[in-house]
Amino acid sequence: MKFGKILLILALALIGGVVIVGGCVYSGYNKAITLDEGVKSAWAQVENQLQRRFELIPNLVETVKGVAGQEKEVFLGIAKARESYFQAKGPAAKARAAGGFESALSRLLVLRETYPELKSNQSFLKLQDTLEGTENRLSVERKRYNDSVKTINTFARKLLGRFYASLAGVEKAEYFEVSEEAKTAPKVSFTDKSEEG
Amino acid sequence: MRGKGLIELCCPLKNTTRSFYGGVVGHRTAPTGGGRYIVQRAVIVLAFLAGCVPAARAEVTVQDPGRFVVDRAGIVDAGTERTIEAFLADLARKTSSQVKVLTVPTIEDEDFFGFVQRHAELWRLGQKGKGNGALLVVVPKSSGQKGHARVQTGYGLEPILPDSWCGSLARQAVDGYFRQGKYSHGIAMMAATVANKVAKASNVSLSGIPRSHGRSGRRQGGLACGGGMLPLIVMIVVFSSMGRRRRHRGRWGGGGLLQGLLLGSLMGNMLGGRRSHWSGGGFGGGFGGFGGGSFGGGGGFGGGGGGASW
Repeated sequence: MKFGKILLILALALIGGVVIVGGCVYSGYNKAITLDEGVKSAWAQVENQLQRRFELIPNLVETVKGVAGQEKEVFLGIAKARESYFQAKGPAAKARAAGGFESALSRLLVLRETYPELKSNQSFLKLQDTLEGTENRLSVERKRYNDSVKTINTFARKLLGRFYASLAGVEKAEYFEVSEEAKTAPKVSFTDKSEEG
Repeated sequence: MRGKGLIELCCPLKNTTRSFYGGVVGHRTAPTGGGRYIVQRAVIVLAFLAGCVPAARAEVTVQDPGRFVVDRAGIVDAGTERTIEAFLADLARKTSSQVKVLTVPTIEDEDFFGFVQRHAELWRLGQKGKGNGALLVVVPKSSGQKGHARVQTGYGLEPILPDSWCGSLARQAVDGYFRQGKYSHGIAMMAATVANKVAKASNVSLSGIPRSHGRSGRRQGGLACGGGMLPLIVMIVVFSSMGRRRRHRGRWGGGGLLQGLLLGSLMGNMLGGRRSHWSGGGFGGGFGGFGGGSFGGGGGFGGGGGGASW
């Protein structure tokens, strides 16, 4: 075989290789970006619902104050939890603050037992419905956010994924996890305990 | 010893026997039955072990069969079911909003909201991008589990059916009907109220909703004395809507003929009088043929809605 022919074949192989590698890097980079945007938009949905929950709370608190005004500790707990949420930055800190809020909220709902007239108060029931709706939506968005985090973290931990992620400047995301305190505190329950059994 | 299986039919080998999974077990001509017997037993044991998959958390899943009322718990009587199917199909036709009813006898270990949300996401009621679907789920109370009722709303219907409204409706159905075991009435009431609200928001009126199922809570059975007027009202409503020349999606491209047939079957149902006497299964069957096969259009569900348990 002529030397020139060998050289030509090698050159073609090299170009082919470069094209293939370039294509892989291109798609890998794009995938990293897409996953990152997915996580960001999922988090935005979670924050939407958290925001909505915090906006609904004052109305609920007012209704309860009308009936159980002397339970100052409970209202103080809620106000503090609300504060700490708005001061928290980043998904993990916000998740912790949200968990702290949930324990404060469950203490508020426990008041239904002490003050049964709340259960027949129509405005309280309606607000409870709306709040429960927000909590439900929150759980749906949280699940979707955690799914997107799982996708991007799995990608970023894989062999080539690591490279693409660092190339695109994309980092692993944090899960929205239930805080330890929220795990031990009484669960936020909207159902009427007296109806059970 | 298995009979001729699919593998045997597809790839027949002379003088051989195939095992359960299609591997060749032995030759028929081989006189030694012992070796073949052991292998066959091994295969049976393996098949048994494969079947013993560790049980996941018990969950009930119902696929969308295409009807509007999916009564797995058997708590809705046939006449009421047809009525509800009729007006829900009417709603879907006129507003593209898909509202369906699902009942199951048990949801096993799952929490109720999770069950409803999972099915709403699975069925994807409503049109993609509009999210105008809603799912009504009722689980009757039985020994060992509470009864649950919920209206789950898609993104598009959330402003029309707010959470507190859904919660109030569910509580009304529970207190007025479900606690007394009157599931048919209660479900019909819920479905009719939801359908009416959605229809009103789109400025259409539905035909086929029995007057006795108003939200005012009047619990008279059967049609009221205005029953004679009702077919006339229905005719006026349907003729006027036809006159408005609504453009339907491809599925209803039959145009006038289909509408005429539907009108005929609806009329037949209405003129039937009492809920429990429908003028022949023919009409019901005919209507089912058109209304059936209505599957979710890809609408999204965000977890909105309201419910009650008892």
